Amino acid sequence: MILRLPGMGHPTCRFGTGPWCLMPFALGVLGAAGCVAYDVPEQPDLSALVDAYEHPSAEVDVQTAWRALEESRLDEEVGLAVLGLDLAAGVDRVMEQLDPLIGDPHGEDGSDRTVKVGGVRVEGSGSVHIEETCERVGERAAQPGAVDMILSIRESAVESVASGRFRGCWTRAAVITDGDQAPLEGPWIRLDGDFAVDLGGTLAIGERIEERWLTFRFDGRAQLEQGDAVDGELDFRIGPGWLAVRLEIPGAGHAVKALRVDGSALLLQGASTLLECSRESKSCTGSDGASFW
Amino acid sequence: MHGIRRRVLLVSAMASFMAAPAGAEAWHSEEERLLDDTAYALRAREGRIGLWRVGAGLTDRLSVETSPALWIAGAALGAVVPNMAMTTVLYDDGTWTASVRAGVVHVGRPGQDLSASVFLMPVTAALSHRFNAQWSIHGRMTAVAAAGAATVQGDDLPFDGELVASMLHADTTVEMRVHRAWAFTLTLRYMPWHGPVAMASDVTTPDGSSASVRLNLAVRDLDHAYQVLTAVHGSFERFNFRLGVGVGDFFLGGGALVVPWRFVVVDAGMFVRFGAPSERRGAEP
Repeated sequence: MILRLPGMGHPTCRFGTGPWCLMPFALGVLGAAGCVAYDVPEQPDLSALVDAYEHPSAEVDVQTAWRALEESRLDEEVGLAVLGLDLAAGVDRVMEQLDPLIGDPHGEDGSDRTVKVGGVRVEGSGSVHIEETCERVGERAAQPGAVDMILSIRESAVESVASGRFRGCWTRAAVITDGDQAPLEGPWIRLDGDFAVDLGGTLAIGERIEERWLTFRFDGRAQLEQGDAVDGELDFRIGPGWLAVRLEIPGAGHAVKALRVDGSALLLQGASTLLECSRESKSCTGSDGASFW
Repeated sequence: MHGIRRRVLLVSAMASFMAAPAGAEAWHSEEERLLDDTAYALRAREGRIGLWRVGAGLTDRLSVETSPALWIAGAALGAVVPNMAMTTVLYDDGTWTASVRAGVVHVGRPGQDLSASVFLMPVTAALSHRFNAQWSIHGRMTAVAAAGAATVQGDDLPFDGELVASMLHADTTVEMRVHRAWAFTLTLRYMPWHGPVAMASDVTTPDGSSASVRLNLAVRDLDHAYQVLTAVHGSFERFNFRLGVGVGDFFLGGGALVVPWRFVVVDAGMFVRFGAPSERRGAEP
């Protein structure tokens, strides 16, 4: 076709129909490419839960502490803690796999928003979806279940909260023992439900969880292999060799119970007191103003 | 001694080259103009052969070309890089010229352990204005879209990924013709926007665990990428060359690929132009 354009000092302007057909196609491809970007999943807010662990509300004393500890159960909590450690190891494995691709963070203190990929500064955002098969043991091997976890990435760092879901995931509870013995293996528990975990701050690409405290919240069903199912919400905290759970003290608020997973130490953290307790003597001794964290 | 003689020979050769008889020179008039970084294109029955581009004019307003350098570089890296671009002149009244150039580059690397396939699609809109026989100005806007996929087969870390990326950059060239066959250009290139590289990959570990990664990677070293380049162009009856030096980033393949550099850049190219010689020889500026 031929179009006449005014004011350009030339009588005609020829438009070949063939080449023009390329334009909408090319512009469409360019526009589509410009629009492609992945969402960063929103994660639950666990700041209140983390604050509850770090600032217990209940005042505890040596007279009432042991009674409160006796009324708490640890088996299921420790079982979840073991699974939590597995999840942390899964995150570390992902970070390990990214190591060959990504070099050191650009900033010397790791605070820069970029990482270096092949010597080029890159800022990343998006998500990592990890799916792990739960332990395959005995009769459960045919249906081992799985755990999904989603990490959100902004400014080249993993956000401090990750979330996921247990889908028929079997884990084995452990029973805390006295002294230096390793935890005894307890009953099997099947987990179905959502969880969220606070990683104790953002995690730079390539960084490991290792020595951090992780705060978990589980909302779902825990089904004992030979026993009842428990529905509800549960939270706990795990750190290097430690498990911590909140302990409600009627009329006083909550304290935090912390124990070494090998059973060698049992602590009770109150609002202003840290008590060290002994299962043998069934008593606690305290020091005012001290904090476990 | 040998060094001095060699330098004298080199200077003599360059002097002879620059003082080539006028009859052997081609005018860069409104009939035959700089082809790189401008809106101009090969005319009907014209062709060019060079390392960077080999092309032919199908009609006065439509030309096609390919880049041998990409074929060669791809072969050196074990990849096949077929590429083609088409330029259509939309408007040309001798003073104003507008054109659009659309290309496609495919980087294919077949293999057992690593296979990759990436498409690049640069589209350029260009406008040139010739003030007089001595001064011209050229402006271009280029958008590039890229999409690709790669697969790594390995015992340790099988990988399957895809990526999409896009960018936009502009350049302006001021052309000053100082001689019948010689011209200087000053080119400013700038990238005002580049989209993130949207990358999706799936990794499976030997124990059966898997990770699906969805990342937007913004290449921060490409933020405000630029280039300031001065170049000298020589055009003779058939032989053409350009030699430039500047600072900034590398804009390769007509801007299809921008490499962060921020240092001294050099630009060089030569090609032979043929076809429709009678029209070129007789032209006046």
